[in-house]
Order: sequence, then structure tokens, then C-alpha cells
Amino acid sequence: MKSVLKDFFSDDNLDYGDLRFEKNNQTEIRYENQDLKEVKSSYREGGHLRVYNQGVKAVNSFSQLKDAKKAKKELANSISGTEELISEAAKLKEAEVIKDKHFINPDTNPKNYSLEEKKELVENYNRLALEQEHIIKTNFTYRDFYSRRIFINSEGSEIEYDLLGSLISGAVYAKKNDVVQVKRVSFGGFPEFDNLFNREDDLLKEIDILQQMLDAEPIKAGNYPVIINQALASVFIHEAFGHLSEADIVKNNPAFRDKLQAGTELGSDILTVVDDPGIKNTPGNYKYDDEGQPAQKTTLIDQGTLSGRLHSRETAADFNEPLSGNMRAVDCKYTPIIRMSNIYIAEGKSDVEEMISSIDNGYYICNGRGGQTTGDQFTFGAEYGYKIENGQKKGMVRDINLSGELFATLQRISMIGNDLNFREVGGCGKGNPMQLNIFSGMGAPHIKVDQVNIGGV
Amino acid sequence: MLDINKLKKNFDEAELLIKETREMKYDFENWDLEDITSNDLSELSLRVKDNNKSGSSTATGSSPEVLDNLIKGAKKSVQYGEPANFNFSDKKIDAVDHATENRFSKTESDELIEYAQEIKNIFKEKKPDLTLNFSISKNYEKTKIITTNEADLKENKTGFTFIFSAPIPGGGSELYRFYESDSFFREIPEADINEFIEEYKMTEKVSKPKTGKMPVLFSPGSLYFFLVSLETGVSGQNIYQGTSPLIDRLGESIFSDKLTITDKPRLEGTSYRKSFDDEGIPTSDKTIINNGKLNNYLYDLEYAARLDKEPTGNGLKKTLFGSGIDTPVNPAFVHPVITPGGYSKSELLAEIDEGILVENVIGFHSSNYTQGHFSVQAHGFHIKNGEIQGRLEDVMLAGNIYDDFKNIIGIGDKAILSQMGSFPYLLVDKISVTGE
Repeated sequence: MKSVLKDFFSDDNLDYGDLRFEKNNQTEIRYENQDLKEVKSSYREGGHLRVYNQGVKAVNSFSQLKDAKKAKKELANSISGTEELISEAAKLKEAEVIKDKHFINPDTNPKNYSLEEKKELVENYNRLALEQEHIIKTNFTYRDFYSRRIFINSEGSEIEYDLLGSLISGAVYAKKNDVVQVKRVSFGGFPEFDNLFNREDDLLKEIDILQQMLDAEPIKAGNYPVIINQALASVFIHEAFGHLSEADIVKNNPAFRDKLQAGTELGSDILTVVDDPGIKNTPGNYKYDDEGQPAQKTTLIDQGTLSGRLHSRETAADFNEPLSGNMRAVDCKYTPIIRMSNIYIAEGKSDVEEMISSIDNGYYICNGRGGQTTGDQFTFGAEYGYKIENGQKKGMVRDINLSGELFATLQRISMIGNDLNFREVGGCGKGNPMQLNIFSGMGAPHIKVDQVNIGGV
Repeated sequence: MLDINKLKKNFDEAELLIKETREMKYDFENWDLEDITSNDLSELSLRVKDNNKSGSSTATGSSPEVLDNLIKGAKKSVQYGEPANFNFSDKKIDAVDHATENRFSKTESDELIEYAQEIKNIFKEKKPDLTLNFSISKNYEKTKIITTNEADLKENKTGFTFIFSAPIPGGGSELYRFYESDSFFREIPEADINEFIEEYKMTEKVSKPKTGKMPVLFSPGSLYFFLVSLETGVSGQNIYQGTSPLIDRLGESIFSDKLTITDKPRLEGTSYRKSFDDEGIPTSDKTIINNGKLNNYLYDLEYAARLDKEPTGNGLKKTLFGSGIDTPVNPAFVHPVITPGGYSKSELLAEIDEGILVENVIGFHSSNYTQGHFSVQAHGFHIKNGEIQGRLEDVMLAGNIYDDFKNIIGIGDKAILSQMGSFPYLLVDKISVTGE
């Protein structure tokens, strides 16, 4: 492989080129009810090439390294004649030439465990869930992913690095009379595999909540003040705000670019939001991104004011802002795009009890159940919640979807808890074609939002 | 290359799916070329049986190391898998033709760029202050399935897509139009562009309906939430597992008698066309909803066997959250089509005294959609006395398709190709809307 990569860009007149070659191994074990539905291993080998010439970017994914030279030539050809289609040439922010090797060395690595051991691990959780009252269906998946990558560019960088993670995720369905409810459970090994062991008590706690959800009242639609728990506040900050801090989302959208200039006040001075790839044992921990840039901590909102943004070399040049090292591709099929690493809301000062007691008529909403945003509009499902009456937490509610507009909602964050917590398993979907990235983490303390729109059923 | 004899040597039975894809795409953002993307990929999926157990593996690439890993992966996996209760396909179809390949390779990049430029020029003339995004692409896919049961199926497809969109004022959600065809379209959709610009102008003002039940006109592009929910209801997998609300309801009226939905996998003119599914079972047209009555379920090989039915050619590597070589096979629609009715869009709008036109819904997958529930944010327009008042903001729709889609007032006269199937506009009464 290295013989092909040596001097790969040396004979070109390209403005810039880079190449990433990967070997990826994935194991997946999937249970549905009592059935072991799938034990699958997959191997993906391939590369991705990016070329900048005459201010135009062209990219190619290929299966075989021997095709890379041909692909490079074709990319250069595809650019010629397109100069008139741009009004401004794309430039790259200057960056350091890096030659390095960095590999993850966990104490417990999934590759040192047999398929049999992994199967038993997920089988046990699945069986335990099925044994509980009212459970009609389970769906448990174990997944591990190891990616070994080499990155070279025309400036002389050469970096070898890897990605490693394992997780168990499950959906447990319960039914009572005509009510069917589902609860999601996940355990993450980023990168320590043994974090997936001995989690029976955590699973039973989640199932206990699911059983209570069967008797919960559907929530009533309307506008309410809410306390959002850590798991859901993490999803909120990732989905509703985080994506708008990715420079490729706003770069060519003049209205957003205008709204999101550095220094803009987005919330009150209690709100600080950070993206940090340096936090150990989180899904979004890495040293180099897929554009050969060192990972960096970026404060996105500093005491209510927009203070930073996530960048590629191209967007950093375009915005004239610092590099952040957030260009990532899920595998060799895809071009890197700007992604959050570990995004979180920094800890505040309030106790959760104090936050609940500040509401006369509202809800305490818990745990995300999927969300979607387009631009500044967001919608999130929540698994369950509790009515708050006169400062007291009352009965459980279900079938909850919240929606709102980001900028108004950030302004309405009036209290932040002193209990920052990171999700074990994150994940993020972005791009066209969609890239589902498991190496994306998120965290938050409890937050209070003075008003959100709740659409019940 | 892998051949059937090598598979026979290693396993009692085997099914190999090979997908080769090529793509060329030009993305334009805010009028300018943003990037050029090309792909040339080979992907493989292997399902095997050995000693009465089943296993699977997938791979990307085509080097000897890749093929070796594919077989090794399946060998490891087959030690643990449950016994497979179904037989691999024994069918034969050869739907590969050179004309299809030629439509991809002979359509030059220059032609794609010229078409995009022409549309750009029309927009520049009519609405230069728009933030216009567009992309044009051509793609080619060749699929081959072989099994140790002598199945030998192959098919190739070429597709062209063109999308244009503009973020609505304030930078929020987008208005968009989507075109897809199996041959390169040279016609300029000028009428659509005019309608798009008129609609765009109406987004400049926000107008919210009052909270309550009201008629909702769903655009073709917004109806995927309804079809995905129905798809989980008619999936043989959910019937078998007891989670579908449509168990034992064949022949029953579940929707308005105005509604007929047919899965049309072989519909000409689109690149969604499939002669066989991802398990090598030939596809065919199936009426799922016939004048409101539930007429058919969808089965892949596994759930057909479990329920003692015939597979319907709907075993696809596709879920709500994606598709691809690593996605397991599930029963799914190939190309659902809602039979058009007799009303133009303007006639349907004229029926609405106070209601909304929905262009898109967001957040539907966070509802309990397998049970038909929806609780989504609606993007679109507030309608009063048949006229658009302004764009919706922070408006939610909630209900259950199995209750609400009994109240269909009228169906549009044209099925329009959308991202999941072909659907006309659909006017549904008494939907619960949370607005002001």
C-alpha cells in the first residue's frame, strides 16, 4: 500500500490533493425476540481522494488502490472547464505539515474477545428484557467497528490513525391492553469494551420506566415551560444548535451567516456550549480528523455569545476563523464533512429540585426518541415525562413531541443544572448521502426552557 | 472473482449479492458550483447456511483480500446463526442491457452542467435575490444475485436526478423540487419554476392557524410519513411479531374508500424500478389498499416462510434510517403509488376555508409510527378561504393515520414522483393542528 502512496501527488500541478485509504472491520450481532437474527462481520476496504484545482473541489471514492491514480487524473479532468461556474475560488486555510502515527490502545479491546463472548453478552441482556412483565418484543444489537486509516496530502502530511468503538443498543416494547410503548437502551464502549459488561441493573431500571409508561397519560398539546433532562438536553444542543455551528451548513446560506456572526448574542449569560474531541472515554474522542488536522476544543457559545465555529480547512479560510479539526468521514465510501466531536452545554448552578419547583404548570421531559431539524426549526420526541403542578413533580405522561425555533428557544433557557452528564452512546446523521457517525458524543446538565410547543396525540 | 463453485466448496448453501455503482454529481450552493463528486464502488453481501445454521457477511472492495475476508466472515458467523427457515431463490432473470449502461456512460458531464446552467439562468432572470441551491447527478447500478439453488439474476439501472431548493426567508427550512428519471431529461420545468417562485414569495410572511381540527392538504413530498407508517403496518415482519395494528384485518376498511395504494416495482421511467428484490425474488404489482380496504401484506423470504405465505418480492435492504449493503433485508415497498383522484391542486385548495397546506413534515420518526401515530412539525402554508396566507412556523400536526385518513375529502389528479414513491396531493379533513 505504501509503495502506491509514496510520491502519489508529486508529479501533479494540483492546487491541493489528499488521499485517505482505509481498512474497516465491523461485527454486528442482532437479536429480535428470542431469535438470533444476525451474526455478521463486514470488511470494507477503499479510499477517498480529494482534489482542489482552479478553486474547484472534486472528490472520488474508489474500491481499489490501484485505481487511485486513474481517479486522480479523472478528477483533474472533471474540474477543467468548470471555472466559470464559480464566482469565488475555494481556498484552504494554511495548516501544519504533520507526520505522525497515533493508535488507540484500550485496556479491553473488542478484538481480544471471541464472537461467542460477544454473542453471549448481548444474548443475556436480550433474555433479561424478555423475562420482564408486559414485554412483547425486543431488539438488541451489538456492534463494534475498527477503522485503520492512512492519510496523505500534497503538502507532505502523512498520518496513520485509527477509530475504535463498540456498543449495545436495544429497543424494548411493552404492551398492556391496547397500549404499546417502546424504550431504548444503550451501552457504549468508547473505547473500553468492558464498559458493556455487568449492566443488568441499568437495563432493569429502564424497563421499570417502560412498564410505568404503559399506565401514563398521553400528554396534552400546548405551549408550556419545561425542565429537560440531561439525555434530552444533549440531543437538543446537538441537533438544534450544534448543526448550525458546522460551517458547511451556514457557509452558503446568507441569512444564517448573517444571524450567526461571531459575537452575536444567542442566549443569556448562563449558557456556554463547547465542542471537545479531547474528552477521554467518549464517542467523539479523537486526535486527528480526516483532513489531517489535529482535534481541538472549540467554545461555540461563551456566556450567551457566539464565539466559535466548527471548520474544514476550506470553511476556516472562507470565514477567516481558526481551524478546528472537525472534518470526518464515516468510512471510505464518503467524503469528510464537518461534524461535531463531543458537544455539550457547560454546567450551570441550579439543583434540579429548584428548577422543578420554579414551574406552576408545565412538564419535566425525559430522554430523546429521535429528532429532526431543518434550519432553525426542530422537532424532538421524548420517551416520557412528568406533569409539574405548583412546583411538584406529578404523574407520568407519554407520547411527547416538542418543537420550536432554535433562536427563540435558546433565549428561553432560563436555568441550567449543576449536573452535566455525557451520553454513553451518541451518534449523528448528516450529509447527502447520509453518513451515520457513531463517533459523535453529546452531553448536558438539566435545563429549563420557559416555553416550548408540545404536540400531543 | 467469486464464483458459485467456490461458495459451494465452503458452505452447504449460499446467496451472493453484488452491487456495482458509479455516480457523477455536481452540487451548486447559493448559485455557485460547490463540489464535484464521483464514485466507483463495488459491494458484496453473502448469506450462507452450513450444518443447518445461517450466517452472513458483507464487504466493500474487490481485491483478493476483500473476497477472502467475505468468506472468512461468513464462516465465522455461520457457527452461531439460527437455522434458516427459508430457501434461497432459484429464479433466473437477465435484465441487463447495454442501452441502459450507455445512457449513463454516453451522457457527458457537459450536458449535465449545461442543463443546470440553463435552469440557473431562468432563476437568475426571474428571482435573482433567491439563495438558490441545486444539484444534478447521473448514477448507474448493476445488481447481480447468484445462489447455490441455481438462481442467477442480474439487472442494471441508470438514473438522473435534479433537485433545486431555496431556504425560506430567515434561513429556516427549504422549499424544494425533485426530479428523477431513467433517461436524461432535457425539458426545462418552467411551469414548476414559476409555481415555485410564487410559493416562495408567500414564505416571506408568517401566518399561523388557530389550534384545533381542520382540513390539511398534504403535498406529494410530505406524504412519506403516511406511507412509512403504513409500510410498518403491512410488513410481514411486524404481522409475525405482533406489533402491527393491521393483524387479521385483510378485507377491512381501514381508510377512506377514495384511497387506493399499489406497490408498482416495475414502473417504467424511474430508476427505482426493480425486476427482483434483494433476495432474488421477482417483483410484481400489488394493490395494498383497495378503495380503503386492506388488500395485501408485504413478505420477504423469512417472514413468508414463518407465516406460511409466498414471498411478494419485497425483501429489501432498506429501513427508515437508510439503505445499503450492510442493512438487513426487511419487507418494504419498492415504489408505492397512490391512485390519483379527480381534483387539481387549486380545486383542492379552494375546498379549504381554514386549514393548512403541508409541504414537508419533520420529526415523524420520533412518533410511535409503527402504531400509526404521528406528531410532527408541519412546514408549509396557512390557508384561508382557499388562499395562501403565509408560511407556517412552529405548527404541529398530531393524530393517527388509521383514524385520520378515513376523512379524505379529495385526491389530486396527478401522481407526482417523490422521494419514496409517486403520490398526488391529498386533502384530509379534521386533522389536529397545534398553532396559536
